[in-house]
Amino acid sequence: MDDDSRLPISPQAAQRVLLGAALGFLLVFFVPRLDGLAALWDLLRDAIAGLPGFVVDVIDYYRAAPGEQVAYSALVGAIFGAVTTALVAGVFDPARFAHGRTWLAVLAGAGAGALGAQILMFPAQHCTYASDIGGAQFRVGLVVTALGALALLVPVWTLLRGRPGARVQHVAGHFKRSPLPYVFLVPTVIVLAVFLYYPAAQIMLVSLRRKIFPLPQERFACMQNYVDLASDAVYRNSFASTLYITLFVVLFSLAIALAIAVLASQKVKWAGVYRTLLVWPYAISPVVTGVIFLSMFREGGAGLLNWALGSTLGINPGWLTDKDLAPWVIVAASVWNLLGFNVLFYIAGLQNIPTDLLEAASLDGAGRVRRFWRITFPLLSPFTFFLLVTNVTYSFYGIYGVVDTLTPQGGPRFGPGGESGATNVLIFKLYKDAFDTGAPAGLGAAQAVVLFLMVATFTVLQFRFLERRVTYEG
Amino acid sequence: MKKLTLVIGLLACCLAPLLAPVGTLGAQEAVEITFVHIFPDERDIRRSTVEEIAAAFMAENPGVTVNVQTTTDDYSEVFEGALRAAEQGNAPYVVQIEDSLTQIAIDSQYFVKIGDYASEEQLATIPDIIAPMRNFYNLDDEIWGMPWNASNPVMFINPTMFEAAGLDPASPPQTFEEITAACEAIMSAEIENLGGCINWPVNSWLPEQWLAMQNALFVNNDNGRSARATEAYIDTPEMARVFDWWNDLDDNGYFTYSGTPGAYTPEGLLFVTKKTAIHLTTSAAISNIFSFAPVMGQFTPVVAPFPKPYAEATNGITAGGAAVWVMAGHPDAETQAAVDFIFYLTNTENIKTWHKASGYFPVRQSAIDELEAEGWFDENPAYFIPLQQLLDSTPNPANAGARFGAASQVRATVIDAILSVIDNDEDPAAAMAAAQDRANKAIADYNSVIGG
Amino acid sequence: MNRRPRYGIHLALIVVCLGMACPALYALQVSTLTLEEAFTIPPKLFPPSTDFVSNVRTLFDGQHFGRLIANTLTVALVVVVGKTAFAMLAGLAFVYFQFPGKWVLFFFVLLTLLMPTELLLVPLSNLIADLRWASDDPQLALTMPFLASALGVFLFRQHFRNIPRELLEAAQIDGAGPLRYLLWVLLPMSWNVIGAHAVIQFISMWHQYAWPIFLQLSPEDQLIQVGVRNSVISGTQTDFGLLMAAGVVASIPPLVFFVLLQKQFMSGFALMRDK
Repeated sequence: MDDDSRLPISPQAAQRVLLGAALGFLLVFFVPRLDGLAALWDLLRDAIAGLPGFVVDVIDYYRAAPGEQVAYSALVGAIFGAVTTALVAGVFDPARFAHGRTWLAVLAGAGAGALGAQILMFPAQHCTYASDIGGAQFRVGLVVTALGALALLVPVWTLLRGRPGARVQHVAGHFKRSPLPYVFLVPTVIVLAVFLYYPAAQIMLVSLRRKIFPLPQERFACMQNYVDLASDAVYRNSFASTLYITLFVVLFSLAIALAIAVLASQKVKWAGVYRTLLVWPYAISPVVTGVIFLSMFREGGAGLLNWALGSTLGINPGWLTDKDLAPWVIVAASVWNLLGFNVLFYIAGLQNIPTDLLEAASLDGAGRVRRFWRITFPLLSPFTFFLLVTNVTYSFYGIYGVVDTLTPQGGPRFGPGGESGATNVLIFKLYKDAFDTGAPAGLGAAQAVVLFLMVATFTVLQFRFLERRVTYEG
Repeated sequence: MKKLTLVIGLLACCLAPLLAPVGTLGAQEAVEITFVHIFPDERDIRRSTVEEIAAAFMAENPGVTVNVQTTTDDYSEVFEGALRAAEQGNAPYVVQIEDSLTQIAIDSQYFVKIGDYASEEQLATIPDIIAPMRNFYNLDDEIWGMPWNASNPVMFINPTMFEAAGLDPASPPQTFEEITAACEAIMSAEIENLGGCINWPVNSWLPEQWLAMQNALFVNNDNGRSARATEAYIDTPEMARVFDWWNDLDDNGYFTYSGTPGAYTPEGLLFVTKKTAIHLTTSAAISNIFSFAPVMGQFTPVVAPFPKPYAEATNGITAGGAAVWVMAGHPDAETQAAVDFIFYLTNTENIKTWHKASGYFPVRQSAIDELEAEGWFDENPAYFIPLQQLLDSTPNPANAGARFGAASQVRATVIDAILSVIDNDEDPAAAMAAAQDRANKAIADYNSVIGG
Repeated sequence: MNRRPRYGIHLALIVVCLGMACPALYALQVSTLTLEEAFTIPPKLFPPSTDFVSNVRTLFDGQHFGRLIANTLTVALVVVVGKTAFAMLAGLAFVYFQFPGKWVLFFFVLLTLLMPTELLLVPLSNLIADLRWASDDPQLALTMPFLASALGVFLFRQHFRNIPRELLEAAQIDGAGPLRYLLWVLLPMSWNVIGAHAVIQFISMWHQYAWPIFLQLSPEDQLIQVGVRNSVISGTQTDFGLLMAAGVVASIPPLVFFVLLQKQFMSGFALMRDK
């Protein structure tokens, strides 16, 4: 801690106090709730006790399943695995991949592919390989098989690749062998398994069913939900709206934040105060942002914006009722919400740009603009990259608070029969379909899976390609 | 230093009251039930009336506590909220369920038939409920919930504006054609600050009324009453009459609305602040409109029967509103108390009070008779006009109202179609065809899940 | 150096700060207006009116904002403390130990980066229903799913990896076990990261909206953002004064938290970059 001299007690004592308070706080919270935690413990116990039963179920299923359906899925998985492994082995250092024995790698890939395909095909009961399945569902089934295969292939590739330098044991930098690391990881693993993995599996299962809240019945529908999504005009429009809004939110919030951060990084008096004054909107929630912008963009002369526009330009646009304008209100609200966060990170990034590089460049005659684009911007790329990921995540998920407050019906309608909403972004439509009475919950689950795949792909791609181009200092 | 830690720990423990879970108090001897309704505004006289009736019930039944809850004015939010809470083990007891949600409420298996819990005495009061209500809710066969707040569509006009346009406020327009003609006159009279000639909340209920008046069904199988509905009737000549007229009014600038669909109160506000001359709305708004118009618009509105598509469309209207149901999954004693509360809420005396305070019409014949005898309808003829219109209709499947599980989806489809016509200038025929398509899909989907 | 450009920069900065603050200043102004004043044309922008206190009182009395804030504060603090503790322990395990299955467990945690809670609300609420937490213990439902995350684990793992190994050797010579090493060596060096993490988690929990709605909690058990949203009740007319007051009140605690931990927050992220 910094101000040692000004504290009445020593830092160690202060830390003890803080630790004690934290521990006390947690105890006071959880001890009266032991019953609730006991319910969780019971659930875990039952789950573990149910494992042998589950294994028996799997075996029974495979015994009873139509042989050719399983065989097809395994075949498709194997082919996919073999082909992709061959590609990967060719791309990476072939010599090191499986110690140069490519045919072994391909074989391993085929095996992993066939087995991996079962991970996703088993819950789907191999339904897309049934003889009477429709063409569209079969194609979706192929994709699902490939994804399942990938789940097993990626670890296999990592194993086959060998890990350079991983063999070097920092023996001096580790504690003795003991069961302690497992103990330390138990809370994290339990929470992640129970509250993330289990619901994720559930949602994939529900996406295979037709289900309407609140009816108790449900019907197994193979990949029908996914096929319906592909042909649903409302979903396609929702997709388009989301991409459109995301693009502008990210573009504007990054660009404006960068400009502000550059301004705020100049060496002036009270720079710290300015920085605080620029960053605090980060603490405002999407809901409150929506509420403020709702008041600002009201129709008629009472809303701030329309009053300003009306008295100067004489126009009175219906911001929230016009299908072309409503998305822009969402963009404006989201950009404002994100600016604080982005400015903060860009300032941190700018502070770490070594001034000697810039001075050297200016001595060489490079103007400010050139200095910025050639030196500063590339050096900021780790931050831009990080902000890109968080901003996109916000535009996909966090924006729900903004949309639900500004346009609770999904925005002004368009499309034949007014079926699509101008601000009916993917997460908003998903919640409506999953939550509303009479809405198809299975379809909502399918949307969640698709959205998850989209964001996952996007994140992985970003990590792979951008990180290669990102320059690190030193 | 260790002492300091201990002290801090103890201090933290003093936060216990703040952090400890609430609600694990000892079991109470009295029975406690909850009632969820849709009148959340604290200034709303309906909310205070409900609370008074509940208090009176508690006074007569000392062993029962009625906890009245309200957070939203949206029927579907109340419904979803009650079901989600039931999923979590927190089900409320008495819930106000909108009429269109009747079928899905039954199919959800989350509610009990209060007829199974009602006493002989309570069951004997069922024939007292007026025929259209018994018809809609099928009370003669099985009693799931008791109708409580029921209303009809009704028309208001601003007599001052009518006179300014050279029209007679004593004979208001009663058909689509007459309204269009009246609007022509009103708009050319150049009354100041007028936003449009006529407004009404954009929902599916009013178009369904116009279908009923033309003796047209909204869904097949006798509006879902002889068997589960399998298709909707949206792309029909009867509906086209409604859409085309609406489109016409909108194109001429005669029709206006608040911008939010289904917003009864903002639409009413447009009328009482003299932005429109004619207003179609629910009879439940009568009290409010009569109290606000003189204050905010300095005029006394005139009530008229709901207009017909054409003069011969005399099949009558359906009632709209909600009933009170009881959720399943509670111990018998508490369910019984909830059923008793429902019959108390809908007894003759309380129905009279409720009608006078809110404008929802009395669902019991005995209440109507008593109000007549008291001279209430003579003093307040406005309240009787919509009721008269209902009682004049001879019950048949068309004016019984539609009953099917996918109702909320289909109604949303109709609203979307209308909005595309009035906001985006879509061709009405195309909008109806698209709506028909989506509606049929929603119904088919529902039926495929419910199976059987 | 040339003095004059500095005034230009100050001016520009002030303009930008005011611009950023515009929506919030507007909200503050409207929160002082009465129901009718909020609808006047032209809008009443200055001076502020008198209704702020009565609006706030309505919020606290009629809409139990006091309880909502207390609930949200508790939930946010539990998650901040719990998540930090679990993440530090996990970071300790991953960095300072070698054990079989280490990479499997690491992959296990890594994969959850792609499983956002927002997409899992429906099955999560079914799970909570099975555990009967919403009826018996709503705050468990609001906190437990957030007590661990890949982000936290990676943050601390990264941070620990940047700490020189010699410190560990020195500690081992002193005979310190892992926990003592964590508490007395790592922790004092980690306050910036903890501060930064705490701010992010606190604000993230404070902003929780969809999850508490899905759980259908009773009104006294809800969280603050849901309370703000419920103030948009368009029963008779939206009381914009009340609504803005709700927004203002709901934003004060996270702002306070942010300002208090500002320094840690700003410097904590300098350590996040790979060195």
